[in-house]
Amino acid sequence: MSRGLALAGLAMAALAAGLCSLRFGAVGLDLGEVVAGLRGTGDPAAVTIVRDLRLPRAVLAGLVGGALALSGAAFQALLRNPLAEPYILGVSSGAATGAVAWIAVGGLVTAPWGLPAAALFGALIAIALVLRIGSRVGGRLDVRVLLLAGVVAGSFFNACILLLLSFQEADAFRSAMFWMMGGLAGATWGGVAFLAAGTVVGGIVLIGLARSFNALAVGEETAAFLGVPVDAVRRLAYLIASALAASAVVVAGGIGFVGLVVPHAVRIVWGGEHRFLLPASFLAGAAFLPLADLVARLAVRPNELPLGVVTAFVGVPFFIALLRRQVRGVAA
Amino acid sequence: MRAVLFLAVWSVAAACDEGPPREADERATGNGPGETERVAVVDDAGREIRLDRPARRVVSLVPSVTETIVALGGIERLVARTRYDLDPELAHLPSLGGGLDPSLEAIVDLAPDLVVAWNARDDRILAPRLRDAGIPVYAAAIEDTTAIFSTFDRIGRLLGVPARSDSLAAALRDTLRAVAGDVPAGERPRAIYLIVGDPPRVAGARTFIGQALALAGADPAFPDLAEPWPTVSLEAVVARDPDVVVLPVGGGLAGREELERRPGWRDLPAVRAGRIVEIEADLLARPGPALGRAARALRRGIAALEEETR
Amino acid sequence: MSAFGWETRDAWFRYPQSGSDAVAGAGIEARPGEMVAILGPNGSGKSTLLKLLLGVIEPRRGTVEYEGRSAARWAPVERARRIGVLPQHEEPAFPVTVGELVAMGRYPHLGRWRRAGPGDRAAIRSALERCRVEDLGERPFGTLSGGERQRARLARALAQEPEALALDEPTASLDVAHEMEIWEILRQEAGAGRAVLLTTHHLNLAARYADRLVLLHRGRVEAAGSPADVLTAEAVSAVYGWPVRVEVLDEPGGRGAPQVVPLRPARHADEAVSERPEIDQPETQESR
Repeated sequence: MSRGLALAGLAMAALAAGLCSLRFGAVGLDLGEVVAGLRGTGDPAAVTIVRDLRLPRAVLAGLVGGALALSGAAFQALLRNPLAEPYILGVSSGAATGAVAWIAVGGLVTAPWGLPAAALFGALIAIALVLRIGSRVGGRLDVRVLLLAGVVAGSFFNACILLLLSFQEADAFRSAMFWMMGGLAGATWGGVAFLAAGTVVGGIVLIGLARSFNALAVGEETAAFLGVPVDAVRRLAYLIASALAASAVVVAGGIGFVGLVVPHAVRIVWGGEHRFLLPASFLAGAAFLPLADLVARLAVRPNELPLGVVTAFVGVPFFIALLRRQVRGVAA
Repeated sequence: MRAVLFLAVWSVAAACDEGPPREADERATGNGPGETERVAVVDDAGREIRLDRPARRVVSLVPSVTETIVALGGIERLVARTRYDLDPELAHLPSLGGGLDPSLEAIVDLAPDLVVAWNARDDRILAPRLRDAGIPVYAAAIEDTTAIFSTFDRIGRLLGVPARSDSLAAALRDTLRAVAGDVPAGERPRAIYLIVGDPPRVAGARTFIGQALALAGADPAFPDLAEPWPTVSLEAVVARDPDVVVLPVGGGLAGREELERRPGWRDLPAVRAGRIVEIEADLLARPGPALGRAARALRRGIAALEEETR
Repeated sequence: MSAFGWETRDAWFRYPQSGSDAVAGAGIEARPGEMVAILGPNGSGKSTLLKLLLGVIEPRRGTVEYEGRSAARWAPVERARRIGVLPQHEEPAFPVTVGELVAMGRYPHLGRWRRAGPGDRAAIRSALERCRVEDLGERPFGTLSGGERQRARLARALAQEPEALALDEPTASLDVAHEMEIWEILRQEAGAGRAVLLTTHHLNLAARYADRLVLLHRGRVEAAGSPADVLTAEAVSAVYGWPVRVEVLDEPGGRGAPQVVPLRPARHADEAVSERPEIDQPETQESR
């Protein structure tokens, strides 16, 4: 029951983060103006700011944070490694490359539905590449090889993005920042609906696989003997985790470390049972990212920092601490 | 999926908007001096901007357009500036930062009736979201003198001051003609306008800077490169052996001393012979009313070098 | 023949890219209520045989059946409802408590979505108690001693409420007390009607606890049957490559289990000291 309480608490935290996101921004509105803006009364500029800019952005931030946290938790379970995360694995860069390629060939005009599909394709290529490198070299997945493979894949796909963009007009170069470091300034209700649908479907599937993840966390053989169809579960979960990351990339660009920090923090506080970890990570991610976005919006007002800059500043120290512990574990 | 649909609709709309400007509209709305007339112009993205009345609250994120607005006497209509608008008359206005990725809500809060932004084909954020909020956005991409003059014209009409834009254009034409008239007959030096970077970039012949150089009496050292701002290798520059290096200075750009120190560059004959024309970047790099003064400065610099050689 | 438990006939298996058979013509069986220990030196095919019996791999010749159906035909979840398995290697990637670990034993019965009910909780409690880890429920698995870990894992297998148990060297690297606890639990479960199948290096304990032994040598069943039939000095010496003597254990309530005593190398003052024991010499036999 304490878990139900924890989930309720995290949901409240996500809600509070969303409200903070509504309350504060580049323009200093007081509480009354924000409320009036939400209700559609008051100064038309404030109404536009609160309803059309801040509200979809707050909701999208929550969904992106949740989707990335879910994706990270799933990758961690699949790879049996707390350092796994879509950005570190190069999956986000793969998705961004797919999206940029689609835009570069003009697909946005002829077949707009292809954008998420292209992003998913890129993400799957990336994870396949990483797994290939990781298992080729070591036979078994070695944490260091895996991380290196992720770094290599990430650099490669970032190079692909820059290559694709350099064929475009010089103006177009600006979006490289978005694809590599992310941002939520372009939040729309369309983006919210797209990601909400994707996250609900992906989240339900992953929670359905939660017991399999628990068993896989103990050991592959053990999981198989507990009745888990290991290969089928793996394939499905890699697909879903990649799709969640790709969906987040399509609407918000490449935002790193959310999938690393959030599930890990949840695990430290409440343990790693996935039937709890997955929904809790979603909610904690939904609480974390709107706050990170708030920092991105307020730190260099009236400009904005790329959101990935903020999450990296939080995530990298986290990553280093985890890596040190892991490498020590391997050496021992 | 809806995000995608939105993107698609936006792109399709952008594509459909391209095409010849509607002359009837322009004639009907653009030439009247009245402050209540409707205006419609087509911006550099090919998108039509319609205003029910001339713009009164303008956010310009493009410094050269800001200068144009000031030159058209519209300074009191500007409600914001960027970090690069250094005119002391604008210092009291709130700054929106660098101009490429300003905060949307800061712009909305200023309640502008016109925003002038850099044109970017992949802009999924600034212009689309402002338009969603009902704020007209004029996308500017000013590469050559033709665009400078047409920008005068279109901005003048958006501000409801077409007569002033005509005289501004006439004044700039006169200045440029005068500069060209000062160029002596005979051999013209080959020049590069160099942005010292890694890799270095030069101004293409068809850009306003290339055109200003031509008016000031210099031929391009890279006439064959079609891009507006081609990246060139140091080797290629050495091979072309330009007679004159035009160097933008100020604003943290590497100056003459830097060029004379750098290996490779310092051995370039033009650099060794001191055939360098320094010019304030904020003057020459702004495709607007400043171009006249920039062309004059270029002419002076090139003339001084011609004197030396003689 | 009864269709319950395991039965293999002339099962052969060879790993890809291997020149020899890992299991060559094995025929063994294990019935409900029966404890069968698979013995043999390292590399004799114990683990491979266990994998065949669990349907992880398929024989290239012969049959391996559980409950009359080919072992490899069982869907993982069907198998997990019937057979509790303790693999040799298990390394939780994330912290897990004993309670969470044992609760996983209910997964084959719960499926993806069903919440654990009173029946599941009762099965878990009973398993915890039988393995005497009921007080460790909240403890992280990683903080347990080796013996506690093994009992916790065994509790997970028991929480599956299986008809049969299969264990790969369940007492490896445990001290005497912990080892004996495991054997006692297994004996008790066999007494409750389960088929218990395990691999082990502990010949003497296997002889005392198991109903039947299977001695493997290079993939072949060298001997199978009651402990007294299997653990002869000849067979053990030949299979393990070390001279042994076999004695009969006389314990109260015991059944006279054979006990293997490995011998120190024979050295005679008037002979050259041989570096290696002479394993084929009959001098080491107890009949001498």
